[in-house]
Amino acid sequence: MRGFVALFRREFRDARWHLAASFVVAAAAPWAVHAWMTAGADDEVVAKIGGRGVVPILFALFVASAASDLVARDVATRRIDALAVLPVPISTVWNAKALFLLASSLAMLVWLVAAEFAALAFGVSGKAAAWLPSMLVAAGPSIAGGLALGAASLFFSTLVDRGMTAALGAVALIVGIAWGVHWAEVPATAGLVTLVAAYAVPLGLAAAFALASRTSFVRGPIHGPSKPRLALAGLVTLLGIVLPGGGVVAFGMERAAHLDPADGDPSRREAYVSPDGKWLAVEDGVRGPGSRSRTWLFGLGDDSCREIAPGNTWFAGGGAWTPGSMLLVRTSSFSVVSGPRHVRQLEVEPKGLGVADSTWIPAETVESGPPGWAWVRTEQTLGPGRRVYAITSLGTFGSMRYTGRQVQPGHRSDTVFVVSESRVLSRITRGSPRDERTNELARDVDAVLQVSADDRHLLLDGDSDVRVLDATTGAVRFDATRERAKWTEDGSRVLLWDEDASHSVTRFAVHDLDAATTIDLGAPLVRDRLPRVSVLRDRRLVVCDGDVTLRAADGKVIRRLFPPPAAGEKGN
Amino acid sequence: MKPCVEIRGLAMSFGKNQVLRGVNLDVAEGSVTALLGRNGIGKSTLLRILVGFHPPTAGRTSVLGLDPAKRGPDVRRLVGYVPDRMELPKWMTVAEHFRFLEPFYPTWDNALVAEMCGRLQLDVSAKHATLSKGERAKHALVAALAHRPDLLLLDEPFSGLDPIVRHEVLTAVMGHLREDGRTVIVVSHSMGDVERIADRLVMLDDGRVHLDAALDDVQRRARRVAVTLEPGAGAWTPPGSPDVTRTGDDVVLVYLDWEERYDEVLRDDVVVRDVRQLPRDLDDVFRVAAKAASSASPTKEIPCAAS
Repeated sequence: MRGFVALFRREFRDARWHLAASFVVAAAAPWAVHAWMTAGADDEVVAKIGGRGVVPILFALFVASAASDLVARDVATRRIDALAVLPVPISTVWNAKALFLLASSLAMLVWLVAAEFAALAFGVSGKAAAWLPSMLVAAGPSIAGGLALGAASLFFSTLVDRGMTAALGAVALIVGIAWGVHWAEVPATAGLVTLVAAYAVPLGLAAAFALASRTSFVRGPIHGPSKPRLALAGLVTLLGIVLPGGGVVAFGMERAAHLDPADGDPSRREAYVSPDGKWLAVEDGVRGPGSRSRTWLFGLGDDSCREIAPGNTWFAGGGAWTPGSMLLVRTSSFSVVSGPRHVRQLEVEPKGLGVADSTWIPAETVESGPPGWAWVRTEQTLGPGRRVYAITSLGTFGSMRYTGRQVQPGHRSDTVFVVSESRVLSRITRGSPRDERTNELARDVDAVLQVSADDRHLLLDGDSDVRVLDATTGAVRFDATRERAKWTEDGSRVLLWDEDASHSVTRFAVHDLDAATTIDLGAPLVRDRLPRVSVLRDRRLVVCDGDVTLRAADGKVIRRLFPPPAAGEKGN
Repeated sequence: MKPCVEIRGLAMSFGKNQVLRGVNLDVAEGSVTALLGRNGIGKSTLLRILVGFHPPTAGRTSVLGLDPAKRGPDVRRLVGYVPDRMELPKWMTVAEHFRFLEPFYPTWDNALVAEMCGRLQLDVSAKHATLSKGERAKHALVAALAHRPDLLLLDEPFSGLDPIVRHEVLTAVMGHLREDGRTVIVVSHSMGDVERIADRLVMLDDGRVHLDAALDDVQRRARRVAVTLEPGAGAWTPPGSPDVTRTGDDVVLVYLDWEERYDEVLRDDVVVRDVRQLPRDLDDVFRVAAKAASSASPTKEIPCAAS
């Protein structure tokens, strides 16, 4: 043990000036970055740059530079012979070097975090500093990546005699591996498995490179004359760990993302009919720690069933289809280049399932759906029945403010529906920023306002009744008591349902405004969510109430579409 | 008595380069063995195998009863090894190096370190990087001796030293070793040094031992003889199988297997005008033995080999 301590102290003495310089730079760098590069930015952005940029990058630079010289310097100067002649196994020499690298790296990490916190707290603002912990948590895999870079640098330091060459080799190899993982497109879910992989991959690489370095050092041996033997010993170890380890991770992630058609959670299932009525897109998935989802496409004409894209896929919040009947499906694969999950939106033509377009979507924004022409950005309560709504719109109108009980922008036209403090429902149409016309539609409105998808009707869902008004004239098109209501997905029907005391759906129906008929669809299969009903052009219905069924215009089931009968039977 | 070092059929290859091809050697306890041979012949490799740096390709070695390939650290704890070149961190002083080494050796003797440094006039406060070649040699020797090793392996410890430093080191170190009766294996190209310290010569060539003899025996059997031939003497064949260097009528004969009768044969030869015995020179012995070894087939007996 005393010998090990002596070796450790020797490493410390050897690197003390490098350590001193690194700690000074680490203390100054956050101040410089925030003074010159992030000045004037939001607190959150500043903290993000600090926590997810400055800290991991400086950490990786330090570990790589410290590791690059750790062995190479001793070999280049032949000091390694003086270490090899010591009466301890040569592995002890390596262990002391590795422990020194680990200890100095951890010390540097603590120092960097403290320096960043100080720079934010005293150089930017207390709020920015308060953001830092969450940013550091998000930067965890990147920091682990720094360790992988350091270990790779240590490995190259064992093989070559020059520290700079070792560091450059490590950077090249780690970048290559990162892009290799990215291009492999291993399916990644938003669940625990991806989070574990995000840490396991860089830490596993760090362990593999460290063990490869150790094997080269000990079995090479480093003080021997055979460089090929040295390199071979390390490479065999490296490949012996990385290849099966990577395979296990990829297989585990693939399995974690796998979902048979019958295995999804019925309450998570969604079905979307294409605008041309030819296709049905189904999203099936599982929530919770093992969260995953898959998408299938059914031909309503030929009963075909195909998986839309491999891996973990789901539809965007705004629906599965573009107005031109192209599928919009999102897929996520594992990546250490753009965060644990690389999310892409694929535009897929339904006939051959060819990908017409592929767009990367930053993972943090994937859950927000596409906005309409305008949306409520903020709302603030001033008093009873008096709220201020700030609305942001696309196009020329910019930001607008309305005061009232409710404000609801239309979906397509430049229209806003407002329920005033005095419960008057008005339609406000904007021709230009200065041209605003107001039509009063109804009085004594005390219900939740919903605009139909085509902006033609307004649904008022009150405590004791449901009304549908013409959105232009205010004429009542439908009136019912005791039921709850919302628009169907295509906006052509009113979905009505009853709830019991525990808010479970007991029955549901659709009302056709044009035909003035209500079709009772009975009790849904899954009661803790609202069924989804779409109407085909031939007036048949596609109902997703856990299972997805094709129904006749009178509501009778024609056949079950999803799960496909064979899969459903297997699942049962 | 069991030998201190026992080597049987030792072979060592680095890739396609076979350096040692079946070395057999026993080193007795308390002896000082000089390991000779041309550059690159495998002398340093042999020492590195003995301290467990390299596992041999084939064969068996035993150092102080231990197999260095399996118990290298234990062997190194009992052995003092002076490599042909010792490099240390620039910041490290001689004293710091001794302090660094101390925890590794249970038998480390600071009093001996102080005594040796005093005897060799080694400044322990000096940084290793600033030491002269002679001082570095002294430093390495003290570091190797400080834990009172049972066996000392010296890999050209005196090369490049001027005669004064060489004398200092030899006197101090070998005096100390002889007092303690330590076993020494020393690699050296200086026959003068070898003659002063060794009691046995081992010469390696072509990966094998080509000469293994007691120094006294070599000195007794080796002769340098100067012969002057009659003017105009033609081709002439001396008795025995000496190395012959002829310049006109003057001939120098170097024998590795001198026999007393050769003197009479030479004096009775009609073409020989004068015969003079020259001082013994181990450099010549080394040169002639190396020449004989390199021209000999692997199976040929080397004249001076004791075994």
